[in-house]
Amino acid sequence: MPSSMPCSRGARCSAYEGPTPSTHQLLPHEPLMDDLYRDYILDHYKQPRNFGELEPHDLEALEHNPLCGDELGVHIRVKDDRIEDLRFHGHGCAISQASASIASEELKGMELAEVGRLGADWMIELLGIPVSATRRKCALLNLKVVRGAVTGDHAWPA
Amino acid sequence: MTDGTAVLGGLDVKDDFPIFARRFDGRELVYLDSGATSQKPEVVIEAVANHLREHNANVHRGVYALAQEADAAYDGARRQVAAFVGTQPQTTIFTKNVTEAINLVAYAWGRGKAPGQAGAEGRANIGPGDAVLITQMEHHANIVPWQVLCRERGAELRYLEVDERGEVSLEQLDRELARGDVRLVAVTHVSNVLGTILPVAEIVARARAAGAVSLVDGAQAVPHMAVDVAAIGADFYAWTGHKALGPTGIGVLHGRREILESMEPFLTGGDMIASVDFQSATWNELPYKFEAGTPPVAEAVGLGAAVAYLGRLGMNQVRAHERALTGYMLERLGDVPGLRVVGPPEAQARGGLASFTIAGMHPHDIAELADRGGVCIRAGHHCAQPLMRCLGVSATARASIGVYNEPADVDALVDALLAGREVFGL
Repeated sequence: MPSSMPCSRGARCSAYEGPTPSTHQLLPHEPLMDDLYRDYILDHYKQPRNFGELEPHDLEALEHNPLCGDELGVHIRVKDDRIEDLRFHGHGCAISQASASIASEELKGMELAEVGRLGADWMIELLGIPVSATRRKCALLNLKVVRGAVTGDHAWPA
Repeated sequence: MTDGTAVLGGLDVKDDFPIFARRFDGRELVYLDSGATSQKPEVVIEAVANHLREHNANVHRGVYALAQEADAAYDGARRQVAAFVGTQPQTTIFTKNVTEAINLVAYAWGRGKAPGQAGAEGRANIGPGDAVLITQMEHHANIVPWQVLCRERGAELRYLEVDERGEVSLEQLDRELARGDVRLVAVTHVSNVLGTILPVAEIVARARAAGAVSLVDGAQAVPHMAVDVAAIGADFYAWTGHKALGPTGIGVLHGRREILESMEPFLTGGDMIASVDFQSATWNELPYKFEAGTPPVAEAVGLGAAVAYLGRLGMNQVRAHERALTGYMLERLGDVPGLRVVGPPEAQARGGLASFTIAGMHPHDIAELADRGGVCIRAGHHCAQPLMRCLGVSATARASIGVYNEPADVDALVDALLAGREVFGL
């Protein structure tokens, strides 16, 4: 008798010797094309651009995603009313980290007044993937923190 | 061998739960989030519907036959619920959920006066210089009410530490109690993150010996194992209906009679009074003193049906099934490279859940990718942010089981996690 619990409904496990039903499993080596976790998203997640500390900096903010406890902060250096340079720091999921990384490249050189006008659509379009309602805050956390640092408005981007 | 579940005391009750007939893009529902809320058996759904269809009236006021049926249904549910955990209906209070039950204690007991003390006013149950002792593995529901109370009263909130096995030390409990200032010990029965089953009867006994009142949060215990509130001996024991196969909107607080009688009400208004004049009121008897306003009648009836169903399965059978399945889950999760389970390594030391991390994948992404495989798991801080800090993580993924789960669900989880690692190029 194996120590594990025998299966009552099939599927592969050590106690089951019958055919493997295929009701709800992905085959382990099936090639995967994923709408959300595209190559460039995972690339930005694994090698985020403009991450770390920036000293000295003129503006900063730190925000949390209450859903998951993730945190994201930003340091911003300002020159001639533009973002001269910025760095994100913190931890989060692939969507939040990739969003920050991708946004950072666009935000460099942007006028502060324009940053204040950026809305959720800007970020979602920039990200280029279908973001579900539950992951929306993951994608928008970086914009929330940047807008907070620049304008003092800490509301979630609409 | 196609069905050996009986050998290990396994249950095969998925067909009792109509939601499992649903298909998601043609796939079966693999539900491993019972720690968040349980699915509902047909008998509960039907009990709620039947009550609303056939027996609906407000309780405690009507003299007509229909109102008496509603009264009988509500009071009958309370008797069922109390008997299910070995205690009395008079000391069984229906609340909205565990959060409300604990707030009831924090407000009505915590801010009240102890009876039988010298002086007309009596002594505040929690005052300056007093301490409330909880553990680092509590749910926010058993942290924040005490933070607010302690801050308001100039008292101190102290924590029993969680060790690397995910357990607390009775020696530290003794040291804390020996300081002589602990007025309340409030602990979870089963951790919603680590799965740890705490030795609550022992903790309660030591608290009582030191003159402290005790509260146990049984949200993750009552649905999954035989719980005898009288045997545990806690002054307060709270749990909730929706995790125990019942509806949302109904929680339960069991209290020690003398303490409940000494307490002022929590919420005030209708139903909880004996009489009211223009300037004052007197309070109804237990348990009605703590149930202001029209109570969740249909929800109580549904919870009564839920505990009746669990009683028919037998809670020892439920525990045996879930323990065996938890052991199988811990074993199978070991097949996923980079996966680390937090909490006690042995199934017998934990409830039916496993929280884990996978190197190179954030828990949110783990849960999203599990959903690609049709598997429902939770990711996040599980309303236990202080514990997350102790574990050195920001979040975990959590798979939690219920009576309806079977080994195939665990296999689907593991397959989905392996496929998810591939998506991430791991």
